Amino acid sequence: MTATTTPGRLMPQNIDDWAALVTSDNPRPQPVELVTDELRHQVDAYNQRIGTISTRDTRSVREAIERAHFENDHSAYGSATCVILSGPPLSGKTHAALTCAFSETRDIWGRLDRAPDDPKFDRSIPWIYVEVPKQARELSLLKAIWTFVGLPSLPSQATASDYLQALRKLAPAIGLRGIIIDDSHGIGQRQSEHSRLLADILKSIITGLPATIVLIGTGFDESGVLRGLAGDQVRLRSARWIDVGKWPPPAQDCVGEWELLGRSLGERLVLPRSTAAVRLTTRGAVRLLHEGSCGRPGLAVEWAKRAASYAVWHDTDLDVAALQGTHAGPPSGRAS
Amino acid sequence: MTTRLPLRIEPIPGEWWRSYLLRVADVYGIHPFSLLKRLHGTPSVNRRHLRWCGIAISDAALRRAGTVVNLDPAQIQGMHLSAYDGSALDFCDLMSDVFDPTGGLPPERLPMTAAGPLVNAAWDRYCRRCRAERPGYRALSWRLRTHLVCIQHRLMLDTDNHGRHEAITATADAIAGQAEVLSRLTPTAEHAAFFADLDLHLASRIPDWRTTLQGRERKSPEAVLASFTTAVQMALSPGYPAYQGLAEWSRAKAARALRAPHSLRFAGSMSRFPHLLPTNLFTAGLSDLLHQADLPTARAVSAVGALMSATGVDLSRACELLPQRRATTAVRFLTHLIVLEGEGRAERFWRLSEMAAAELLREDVDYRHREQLCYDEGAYLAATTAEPSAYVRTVRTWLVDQWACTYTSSNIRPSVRDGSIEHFDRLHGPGMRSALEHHFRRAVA
Repeated sequence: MTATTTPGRLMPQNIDDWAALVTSDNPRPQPVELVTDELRHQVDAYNQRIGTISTRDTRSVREAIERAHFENDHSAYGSATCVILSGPPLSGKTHAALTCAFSETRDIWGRLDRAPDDPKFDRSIPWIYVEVPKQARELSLLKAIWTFVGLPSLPSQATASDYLQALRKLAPAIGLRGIIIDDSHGIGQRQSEHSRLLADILKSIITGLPATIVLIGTGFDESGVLRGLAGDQVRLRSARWIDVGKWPPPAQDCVGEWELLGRSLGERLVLPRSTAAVRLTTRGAVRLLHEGSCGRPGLAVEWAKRAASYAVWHDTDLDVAALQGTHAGPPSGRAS
Repeated sequence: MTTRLPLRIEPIPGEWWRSYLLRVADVYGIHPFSLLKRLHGTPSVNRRHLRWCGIAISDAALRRAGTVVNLDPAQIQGMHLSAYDGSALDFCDLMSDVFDPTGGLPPERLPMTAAGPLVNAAWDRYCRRCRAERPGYRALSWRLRTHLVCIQHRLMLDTDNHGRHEAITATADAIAGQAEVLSRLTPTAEHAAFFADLDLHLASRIPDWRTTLQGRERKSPEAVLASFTTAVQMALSPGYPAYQGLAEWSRAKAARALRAPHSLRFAGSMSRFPHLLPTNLFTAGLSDLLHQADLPTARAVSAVGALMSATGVDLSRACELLPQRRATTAVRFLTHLIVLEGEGRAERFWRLSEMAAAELLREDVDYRHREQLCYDEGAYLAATTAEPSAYVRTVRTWLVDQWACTYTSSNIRPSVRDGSIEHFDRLHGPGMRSALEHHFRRAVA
């Protein structure tokens, strides 16, 4: 493999990385007859960065967020609507939410007529993305939001209300539209005093900040985050509860979500040799994607990318054989 | 994690850096130390960091601070007291990397008074109306002792942390004087000279000017304001020692406060200025004015006047700039100028001095070089050959006194049998000057 420039890994948890993530330029390489290792590397990198695969879930999430924005923008009493994305690990929840956030951010930045981080202006931060830390307690969530925006820490005696007040003051200046809180199920997992306080703070974030909150998690029903008084308020405020990845399995007589995913992947993934073919729309490939990923679209996309990489470096077609050659077994992780 | 702060908070015009930082911290609801940590990229800060900020800043710290608070480095630089270096303040050697907060600050407090008349760090000075309109605002110039009046609100600045009960309205003269002072804060040699003079005048009129001014301002603010107004008027009227009150000062102090009323702002080599004004320039009017002094003294005084008019330096410095300075020159200069001022002829003295200065600059003669060559045997031979009828021993005196225009010593100046040296110059000077010029041009070739 020919080593070319190695870009640093971009993280959505860092606002400085958002410009690259939102406006990532990923030119589609052209297949040729005589393939070099440099081209293979180029194609492989392109496939890994193909970005949004439009699915039923991404469309549902987009509609839910747009609706929540609308309700929050026109709310009579300031009560806030949030969006809850629930689903098993690797079902594509985070991907769907980030896709929507990146898209809206791109639109907003496109209308600015300046760089979003031009130091001569307030920084434009339409969306914030945070993950609930594993050992989350009390102010962890607020601190994560605080850090994402790039602010020095508040005094150690600062309360949740201090954070919320400061963020409320800041939000209009930075043009805040939404906050994605990933791994939200971790908030109520331990059912301790800390967890209950976190749930209260989560409720305060939803009602107290002028932004649409998107909660992402696995097994909200089992975790305590949506239980109790505060949990009830969060759950009942939800504009849309979307179970991500709950697609019906491929059927013989109709074109369903899995078939559409196979087609989208087939259109987006590229192989370096002009004679090589991408065959992910065959009935066998679609069935294999569904069964091999245990019905999780997010995992299916990652698997297809892995198979594409295999096909790139082994000069084969991207088909059932490539999928089988790269199948890593059923997922066993808990978190997405 | 990002280092820059999300908002661009515009500084208020004339704002002090420390005031700006406190306002920024307030906007975000954070502790100022937390902001300083981010600014300097250091894990811990203490009160010294806050105390030092706003005085001066190193280039490295400036760049980082600019990135963090989204301001141009020039904007930040302009919010530090070092912006007045070269006008109201003189940082001299204090401007090194000593102001780099990331490099570890010295354990002891800097003697900032060395930089000029600053308000004591433990005290605050502010305009109550400015603060009421813009909470948290502190102007950079409020740190200067020479800023006593808010010209916008026409109030004397409060000078302690509690403030007076009643605001003191400044007189029209005090406001005009303060406006004049503030208009001269841009660093230039002329402004630096003004502030140096103002400091001397203030120190002579306000007893605690350099030490516990705040106490005096609290006890008798009106008196301080009146003294300030007078001091500004005096500093704005250079060149007239009797009017400025310099006659009552010690001669050394008065020499530091006396300047020419106008300056040609010449900043080149001092070798263009002789110790004694050349006869042709001296006799154009200065000889009449200074008729009471002996000739060498009158020429020396005139030469110093020309140097002051050309450069704008004070009398003390002018005497230092002439290498063979005579300790008595400054004293004699002051004495004669005070006499001339009493006779109403000081203005003419300065006008003639300025004309002599312009002529010296136009002639562009290197008098330091001539001082070395006037003892040269070749020069002596060239002069005597050109004017064989000239009395040879007087030629040596002429070379020193009239050609190099410097002081003669007793062993080379014999008695002048051929009349005065000036008469000798009229007879033989042109021929010898021409020969010397030819001689040295050939020597250089």
